[in-house]
Amino acid sequence: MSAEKTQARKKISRRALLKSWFNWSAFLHGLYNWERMQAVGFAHAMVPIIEDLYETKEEISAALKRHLVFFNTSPQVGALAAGLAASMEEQRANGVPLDDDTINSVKTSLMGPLAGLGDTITQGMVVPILLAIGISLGLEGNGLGPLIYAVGASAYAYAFSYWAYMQGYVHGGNLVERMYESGLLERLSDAAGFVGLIATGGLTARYVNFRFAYELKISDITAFSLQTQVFDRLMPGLLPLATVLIIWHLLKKGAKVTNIIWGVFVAGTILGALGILA
Amino acid sequence: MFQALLIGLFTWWVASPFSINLSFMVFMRPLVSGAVVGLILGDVAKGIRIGAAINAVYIGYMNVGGAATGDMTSAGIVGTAMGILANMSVETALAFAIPIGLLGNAVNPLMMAVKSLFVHKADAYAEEGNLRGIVRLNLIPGTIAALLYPAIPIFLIVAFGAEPVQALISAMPVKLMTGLSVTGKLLPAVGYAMLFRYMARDTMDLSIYLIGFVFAAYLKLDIIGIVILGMCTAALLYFRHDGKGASENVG
Repeated sequence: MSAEKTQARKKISRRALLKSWFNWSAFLHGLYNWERMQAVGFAHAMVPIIEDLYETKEEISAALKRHLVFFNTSPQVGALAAGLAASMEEQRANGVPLDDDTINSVKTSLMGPLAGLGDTITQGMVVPILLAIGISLGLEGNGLGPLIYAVGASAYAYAFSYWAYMQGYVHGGNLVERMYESGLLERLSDAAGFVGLIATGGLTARYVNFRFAYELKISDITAFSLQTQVFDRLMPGLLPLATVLIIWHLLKKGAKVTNIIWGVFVAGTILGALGILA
Repeated sequence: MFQALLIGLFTWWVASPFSINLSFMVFMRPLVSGAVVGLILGDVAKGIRIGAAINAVYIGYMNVGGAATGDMTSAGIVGTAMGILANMSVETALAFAIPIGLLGNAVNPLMMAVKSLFVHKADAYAEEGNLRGIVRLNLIPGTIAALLYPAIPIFLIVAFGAEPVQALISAMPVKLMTGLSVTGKLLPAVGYAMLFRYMARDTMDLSIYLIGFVFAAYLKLDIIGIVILGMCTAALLYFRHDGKGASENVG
């Protein structure tokens, strides 16, 4: 706390914080690329902070380099990392000995856990659930479908990233430590995963609708249908469920998603054209 | 032509950094882009119907570290536009959109590779301490890239494609169209398998997935009902033991 003794303690202005949060939320994927993923977006988010805290060319250059390293996480929950980086830069500008390696290792150590939690909440839970609501209205041509989805998803994206950014900034490194220690991060992740999994099960039953169409003609009037006489009696939605589980198994074995998609495309087109599936 | 230009501009905006990251969350979802394209082409209701049908294929769409299940942007916009302009049924438009999304999915990784080239320019700006340079670099190459793909190709397809597409569709054997629409019913399975793979920590999590499945398949609960049940159960399981030792009683 020796830094507080110096008279002009630097503090990031509210305006710079808001600009930084907005840059993060809006432009994180501006130059999303294979080599360093969100690195340039991260640096862009730090620009207002750097402008606020540093004056010399050397300081600015060093700060930009710190934030141009490989970075990749889930955007909304990951805003916490940006807020935390802002708070670390503020401490550093006030003489707290945080070197480049420390700042980078804090950022890097957060990437994985935040991506795991964030993708589970955003892509696994919020988006599919909102989409399910929007699509069921949209299929009837109801304009509320796209509207509810658009408003809900935008509000979630910006509100959540604002909250996460400010949490990261205000609580700094302690927050991360506390989250790990109390096991809160893990429990949140488990809980979101639970809701996501149960919703995925429900969505499978509702949105994967194909059936076995081929019927074996026994005589002119009777036919044997595998779907109605066997599958439907065993379990509703048996074929879709089995298909999801087979693909899941292939993914677990390390099959590439692209190959699976092309496989499904070819198999579906042929089986559909032959009238085996419908 | 003017409408095609508007659709091209919309696509450009959606794929560029200036969509303020609402493309992935909102505007590249066919449910939403279908409505916008329908609005431009003067048939909102049909746009929404086609967009919703295409989006049902991509409901479990995941993007993990840049690897995705399809190109929703082109599938949604081209599928809806052609569906309206070439006067297709919702099912036919869906069947038409599916190969488009698969082809687009092959182009997107190339665009990410092209953007890698600019990262070194960022290093040079950092060396100079050029803050404006970093901002420009994060916004401009992405904007130009979005113009090259998908904006210009989609503009061209919408502007000149309606007649050839209509001819193609009517020349296609009925069986092939039926086959493609069956593919549309199968493809969501890939999305759900990916979601499941991503969220399941071990095989035991299959039980949670199956609970959701049974609620919908047997009990016909809608998705909101299932989510509420899931949230209540998750709260009991993971947060109940805060403070008191109630977790022993759960089993």
